[in-house]
Amino acid sequence: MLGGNPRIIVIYHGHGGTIAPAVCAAIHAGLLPETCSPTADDILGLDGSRVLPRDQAGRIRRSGESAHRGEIYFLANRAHFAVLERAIRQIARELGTSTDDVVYVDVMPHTNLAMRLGGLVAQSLGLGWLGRKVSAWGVLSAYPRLVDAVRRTRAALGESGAPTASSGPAGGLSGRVGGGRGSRAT
Amino acid sequence: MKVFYFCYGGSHTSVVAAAIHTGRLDPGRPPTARQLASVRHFDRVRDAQLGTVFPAGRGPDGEEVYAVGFGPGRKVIRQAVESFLEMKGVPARDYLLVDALSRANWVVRAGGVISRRLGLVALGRPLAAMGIRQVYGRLAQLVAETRAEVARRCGR
Repeated sequence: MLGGNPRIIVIYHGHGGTIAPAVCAAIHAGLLPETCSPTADDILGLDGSRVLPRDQAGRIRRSGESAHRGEIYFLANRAHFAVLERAIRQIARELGTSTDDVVYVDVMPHTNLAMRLGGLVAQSLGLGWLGRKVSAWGVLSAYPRLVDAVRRTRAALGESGAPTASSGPAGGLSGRVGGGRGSRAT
Repeated sequence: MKVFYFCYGGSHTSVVAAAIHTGRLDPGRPPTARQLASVRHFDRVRDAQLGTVFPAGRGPDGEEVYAVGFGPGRKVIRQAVESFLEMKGVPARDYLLVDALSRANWVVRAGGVISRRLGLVALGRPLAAMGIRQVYGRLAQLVAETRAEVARRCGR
């Protein structure tokens, strides 16, 4: 599906910390394994597992490239996603840039309590070392679900080699964004 | 060149800054409540319209000026927008994102909440207008700085 077409941009996002979106993006980009669990060190070695300075919160960061030449990014939005998406789409449009090639995937349905608690401890309490360890533990226990979310995303994108028969689209996949959905109120 | 003034609701400080920038309001004299009420979108944007970009006209160097509300996560959304545009190869010199809420006081904020969030327009709108008049000099200064930056980028 992607061959010969413009590159798809996949942005995994979640409300709160970056670890869950970063892990999903890393799986999609082939930086983490799909058929076995990584180690806690693998998780903690990801760029997205580090706590960002407050003035960097919201930055869309690149994870890598998928096997089908899609560009894979992740984002901790910590804002209302619908507002963020609309603002990006409309400002990009005014600047002559389309968002038709962008797919947002919400990873929050695939997270567990430990991941959310770890993000809270790291971000709100400022205990980065503790929060990251709790989050990494949460990631390891939720890992099969995160892999499944990435596989469903691939299937929804039509990337060959991904399971398609029974998986269906990922729960948090919001589909291609843009393409005339913008509304300029008057 | 495009200038996007943003605030919480896209209804007060961003709209007034955009109106000053485009010459609809006099930067040297605070507007009356009636003049403010006649500014397009002033205290009229709904929560469901957050993130919507409202065109306000053109500035002195031909730049297009907009107002937009980013809601409670305005700094996060600013980062997301800037990083997205960078990712898409849009040159940073082509646009300015200007935080107008940074020049607000508590009166503007309270008026905005009362009018837009609580729906008590008769009480909130005059309060927001009063707050805007109080911080008008700060908003005019923000616009002057923004216009200077636009002129610098346009090579003037």
